Amino acid sequence: MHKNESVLLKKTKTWTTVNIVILIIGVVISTISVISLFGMKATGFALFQGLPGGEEAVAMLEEATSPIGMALAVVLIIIDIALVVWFFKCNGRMKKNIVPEKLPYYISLVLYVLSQVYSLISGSNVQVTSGGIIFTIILALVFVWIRIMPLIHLRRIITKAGEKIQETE
Amino acid sequence: MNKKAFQNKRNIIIVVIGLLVITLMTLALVQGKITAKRSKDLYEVYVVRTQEPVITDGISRPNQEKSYYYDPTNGVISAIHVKNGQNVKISDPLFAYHNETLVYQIEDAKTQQKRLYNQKKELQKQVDIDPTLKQSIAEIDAQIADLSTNIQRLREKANIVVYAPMEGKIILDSNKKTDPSAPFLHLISTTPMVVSTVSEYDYYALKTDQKVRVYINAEDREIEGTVTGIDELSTVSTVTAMGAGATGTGSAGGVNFTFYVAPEEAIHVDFSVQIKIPLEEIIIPEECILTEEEKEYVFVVKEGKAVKQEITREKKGLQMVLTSGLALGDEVLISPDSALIDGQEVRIKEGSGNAH
Repeated sequence: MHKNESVLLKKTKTWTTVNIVILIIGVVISTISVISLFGMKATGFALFQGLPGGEEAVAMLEEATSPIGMALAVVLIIIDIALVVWFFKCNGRMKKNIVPEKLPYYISLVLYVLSQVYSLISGSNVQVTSGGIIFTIILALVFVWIRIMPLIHLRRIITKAGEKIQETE
Repeated sequence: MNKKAFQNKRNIIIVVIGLLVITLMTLALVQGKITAKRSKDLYEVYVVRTQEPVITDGISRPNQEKSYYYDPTNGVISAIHVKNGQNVKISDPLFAYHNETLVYQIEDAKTQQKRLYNQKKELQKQVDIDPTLKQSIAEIDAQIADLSTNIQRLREKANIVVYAPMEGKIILDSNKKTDPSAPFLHLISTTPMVVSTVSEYDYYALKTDQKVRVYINAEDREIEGTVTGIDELSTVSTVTAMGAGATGTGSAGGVNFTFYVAPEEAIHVDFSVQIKIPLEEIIIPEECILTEEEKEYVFVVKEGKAVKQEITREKKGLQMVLTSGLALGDEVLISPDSALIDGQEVRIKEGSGNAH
C-alpha cells in the first residue's frame, strides 16, 4: 500500500514539474506581451495603422491595454508566479515523502478553465478556420489534462496532506 | 491552533484573489461589449467622385502629308528651291520644271507671229487701193492674237514652279528627282495629329470635341488635346498600318475603334503618347446602395448624421451610371446597417474615403 503511494507521489512530483515548466513559460510570455503592448500603446499602435483590418486590431489591442485589461493580466501573472512558488514547495515536500496539499492544483485548474471561458466569451481566441478551432480545442484539452494529472495521482494517495508516507519493504 | 488560523487566513486570501480575478474578467468582458457596440456605429465612407480616366496608347502622325513625284511630261527638274529638313510656309517655291521642247515650240510660234505681222504690213499698204483687203487684215489680227495666247501658255508650261500648299517640313531625296516611280520630296505638316484606338468597352467614353490629356512619353510632359473624330467602324487594318505604337489598352479580345486627337501644342512626329480620356460618369459601389420597393437609396453623411437619399441610375455599357441624387464630394456610407435609420448619428472610420 505504502509502496504504491510512493509511486503515486513520484508521479505527482513529475507532473508538478511539468506544470512548473508550463507556468514559467506562460509567465515569461505574458510578461513580454504586457511590456510589448505597453510599448506599442505608446506609439498609438502605429504598426497596425493603415493595414487591412488594422483598425479592428488596434481596437482589440486598446481594449487589452485598458486599465482593466492590464490589471487582469498583471494579477494573472502574479498568481502564476505564486503557483510556481507553491508548486516548488510541493515538490520539496514530495522529495521528503510528505504528501502535498491539493489546493494549488485545484487553483491552477480552475484558473486555467476560467481563463479559457473568458477567452471564449470575449472572442479573443476565435479562429476563423475550422482547422484553427480544432487546434485550439486540442491544445486546451492537453493543458487541462496536464493540470488534472497531478490531482488524479494525489487523490489516490490515502495518507493525509502534510503527513509523511512510511517506507515499507 | 496557529496552523488552523494560518490556513483560514490563507483561504480567505485565495478567495479574495479569486473574486478579484472574476471581477476583473467580468469588467473586461463588459468593457469589450461596450467597445463592440460603439464599433457597430463606425462606418467607412465612399467619397463620390469621377472615375479614373481611360488610358490609351497613341502615336503622333502628320496631320497632312504631300508627296511629290518627278513628272517627265513637265520636262526636267531645273531647280530645287528647298533643302532637306527645311521648314517652309505657304506659297514658298519648292522646285521648278524646265521643258526644252516647249521652248522650241515658243520660238516657232514667235517666228510665225513675226511672219503674220509682216504680211499684215504689206496688206495695210494695199488697202487704200483695194478696200476688200480689210477682211484679210482682220483675219491676220485674229491669228496673231491666237498665237500670243498660245505663246503665253507655252511659256507657262515651259517653266513650271511648284509652290508649297501648306506650312510644313521638307523631306528631300535629290537622288530620286529623275525617278517617276518614287517621291523625291515630302512636305509634312508641322501640326501633327494623335492617332489612337479605344476598345469597344470604352467607346461610349469618347465624344467629338471632348477635351483629353495627352502625355508625351519621351518628353515626360502632358498637354491638352481635343478629340477631332472617332471612327464609326472598327478599323483593324488602320491599327495594323499604324504599327505597334497605336494599340489601345483594351485591345485584348475585343474590337478597337480609331480616334483622332488634335494636340494644343506641337508633338514631334511619330512620338508615342498616352491619351487620358476622362470619365465624367459617376459610379457608386453596389455595397453602398439599398433597394426598397424598386427604388435605390444611399446614406449620405451630413454633419455627422446618416441622411437617406434616393438615387437613380441607368445602364451605360457594362456599368450602372448615376443620373441623380448625389454630387461630387458627397460621403456615402459603405455597407450601411439594416437597422440604420434616417438622421441617425454615425461615426466615420479615420482615413476612410480615400482607400476606394
